[in-house]
Amino acid sequence: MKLKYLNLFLFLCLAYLGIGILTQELLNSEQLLAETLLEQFTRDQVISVLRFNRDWKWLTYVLLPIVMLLKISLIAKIIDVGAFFIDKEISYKKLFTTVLKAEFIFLLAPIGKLVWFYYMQTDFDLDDLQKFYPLSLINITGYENLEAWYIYPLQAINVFEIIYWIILSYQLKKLVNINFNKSFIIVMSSYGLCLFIWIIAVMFFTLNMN
Amino acid sequence: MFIYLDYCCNVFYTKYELMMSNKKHLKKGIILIAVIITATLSYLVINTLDRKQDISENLKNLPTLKLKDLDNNIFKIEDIEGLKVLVYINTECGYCEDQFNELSLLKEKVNNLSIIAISSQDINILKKYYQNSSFFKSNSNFLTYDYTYQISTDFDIESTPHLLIYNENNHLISQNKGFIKADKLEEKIKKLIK
Repeated sequence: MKLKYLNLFLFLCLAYLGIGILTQELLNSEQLLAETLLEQFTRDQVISVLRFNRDWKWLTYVLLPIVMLLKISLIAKIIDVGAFFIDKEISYKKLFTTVLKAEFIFLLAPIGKLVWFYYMQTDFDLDDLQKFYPLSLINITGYENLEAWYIYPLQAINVFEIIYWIILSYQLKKLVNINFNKSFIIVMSSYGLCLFIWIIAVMFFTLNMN
Repeated sequence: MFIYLDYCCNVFYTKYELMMSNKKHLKKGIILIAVIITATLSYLVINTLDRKQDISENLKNLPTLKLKDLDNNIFKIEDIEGLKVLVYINTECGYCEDQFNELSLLKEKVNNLSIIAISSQDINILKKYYQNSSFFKSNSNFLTYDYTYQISTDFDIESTPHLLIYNENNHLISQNKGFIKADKLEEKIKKLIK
């Protein structure tokens, strides 16, 4: 049983890494970065940046599973606290696996991005690649001339996030044997609130960095 | 000391167990913490936004900066005519050095342009830097120092180089955080002067 969920977690991490590598190769993101940087910086500076990126690329591969593990553990704990408010006790292990399964929905976002830029908007620049997020609020508002600290909140409000909430609520409903509305309220009031706090925190740090 | 530490741990653990057994208080505590965090973060975001807006307003027209030249005389930017590029620097910053090269190129393309470099470093470091620098030997290139050490805080300057470009009427044309190439600067100046 444990091995099954470990495999699921590893598969999730590998899927993210695989999509990331595929995106880099198919969309030539490194070349795009070089071209964009050359508009602003000297050739030597750009070479230095690209070299730095290449030297430290391995860190992404190491950090990704750690970050994923932290994220899933934290969300599981947050929902545990939410369940505590309605006096329901759920095994943390079950919550962890619930959140792990729901996380797979977010794989569709980078896939959607890759498909969009490879087949539909083939004439794109680095700004497009960084700011575009499929099926999110930022696609409605647009991102040209948008202040940097607006970007993340508008990206975070997307269809995948809503589906994620629905999947979590549905799984929780089965775990705790309550109706869907109640489980959705638990997810919204625990995870939803923490997501809101997280978005404000990111906004604050972005504001200070700009 | 260890006996005291052990006593403190026991007291804490007993109180923790009491708290955990009293779910009502714990729930109220969690809600309170969430409200405090949300309110604090929201306040910080709004406060930062207001501060940035104020700074932006203050920079629209050339502000009165308390600067001195390397002879320790008060330096008045307002007395300089024509286009002015204020560049906040640190002498140890490699990008600042590259920026000066770009500014030299810019001066070949744009007329009546003065470069005023501002640093918060010690005047002795700046004097040494000035001696080794050919950039500041030219007329209309000035190296000044912020003797109050307030400019970076007052104008939210967190990295170097940081450029502020003012036209002949001392109105802000453009602001750039970080290095920028001469042709990009030229583009910005010519576009906004039109």
